[in-house]
Amino acid sequence: MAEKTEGFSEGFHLAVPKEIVIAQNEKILMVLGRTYVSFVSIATVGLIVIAGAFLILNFAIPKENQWIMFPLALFFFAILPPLLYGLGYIYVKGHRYIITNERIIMFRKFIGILLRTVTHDKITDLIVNQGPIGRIFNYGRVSPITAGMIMPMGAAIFSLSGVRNPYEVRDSIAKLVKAKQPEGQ
Amino acid sequence: MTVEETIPPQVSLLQDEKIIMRLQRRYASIFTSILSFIATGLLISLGSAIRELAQYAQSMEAYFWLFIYVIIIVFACFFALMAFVGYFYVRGHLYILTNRRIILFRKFITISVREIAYSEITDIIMNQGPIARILNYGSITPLSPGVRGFYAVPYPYMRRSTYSRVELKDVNQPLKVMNELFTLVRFHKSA
Repeated sequence: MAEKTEGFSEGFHLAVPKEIVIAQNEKILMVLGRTYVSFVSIATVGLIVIAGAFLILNFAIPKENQWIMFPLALFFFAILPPLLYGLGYIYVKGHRYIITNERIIMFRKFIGILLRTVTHDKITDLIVNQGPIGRIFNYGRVSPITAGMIMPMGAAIFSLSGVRNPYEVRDSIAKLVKAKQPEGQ
Repeated sequence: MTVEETIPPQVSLLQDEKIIMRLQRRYASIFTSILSFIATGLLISLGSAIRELAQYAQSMEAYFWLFIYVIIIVFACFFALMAFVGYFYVRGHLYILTNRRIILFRKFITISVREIAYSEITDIIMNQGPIARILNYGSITPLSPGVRGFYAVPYPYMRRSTYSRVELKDVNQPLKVMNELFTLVRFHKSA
């Protein structure tokens, strides 16, 4: 389990997944998760786009083929939303971001496992992205960029996505980066 | 046979360099690659294949079962061939972790060798698919400023082939290897 460290807010201490091994003398400072609302906003936009396409299709399709609209509507409006939001919940719960005194571990467990680890001294840039809904609900994406990571897609995938108080998280990482990098850099 | 004797002649160790780990690609991984390749091929061609079949359906009625048998046999032969070639392909992969660097070696028709010093590693990425999770294998990519990873879609059949040569692909117990790798990077930083 994560240790509590001075200087970091409450609510930043979730359980560490069993797949992650912390090295000797390495201290966990923060364990973050992804917010469900960050997924819901993306999924809802997707569903609205589908609904729009469905509406256009409804007008464009010939009368003799109109029968296909009922099963399509059943799938898109009755089956897909609960499936998407339900699976999305599991997807979101599979995200863990662990910040230690030496590195950041970005972990995602959903069907497969994806894990990125980056030490503080190799971080060159820190980017914070907040969408309009993220601004309302106070979540965002913090991307620690290194010389080895291609922008923008690589950074979008291997980031601390949908974390609460992104600017506070950014400041905490920035402090650690500054402490680890040699003077003058 | 000692560890040094099993190193290919194209790989030479430095003075005082010691091998810590010697990893090979898992043969089971080739089957997931074949299956994903076939699935992608089917997804792309299924629509046009059905259209073609529907067009000649009446004239083909007499030969329908023969046609199905031919398709099954063709797929079985393709699978067997890929599995046979895949065996030699997988055997050609060798990853050596020494006390100084990582050596990624691949010998299959062509030869490709990559060496990376621990001090140059910026990110370590581990990727396991659903079947890989069950069979406990996965790929580890040590990124450096020289080899930048494009990992928008983290599944092998959607990556560019050139990037697949810079990772420790489908090795046993990837989490353990990743931890070992991090320990080595950490040690070299503090040294």
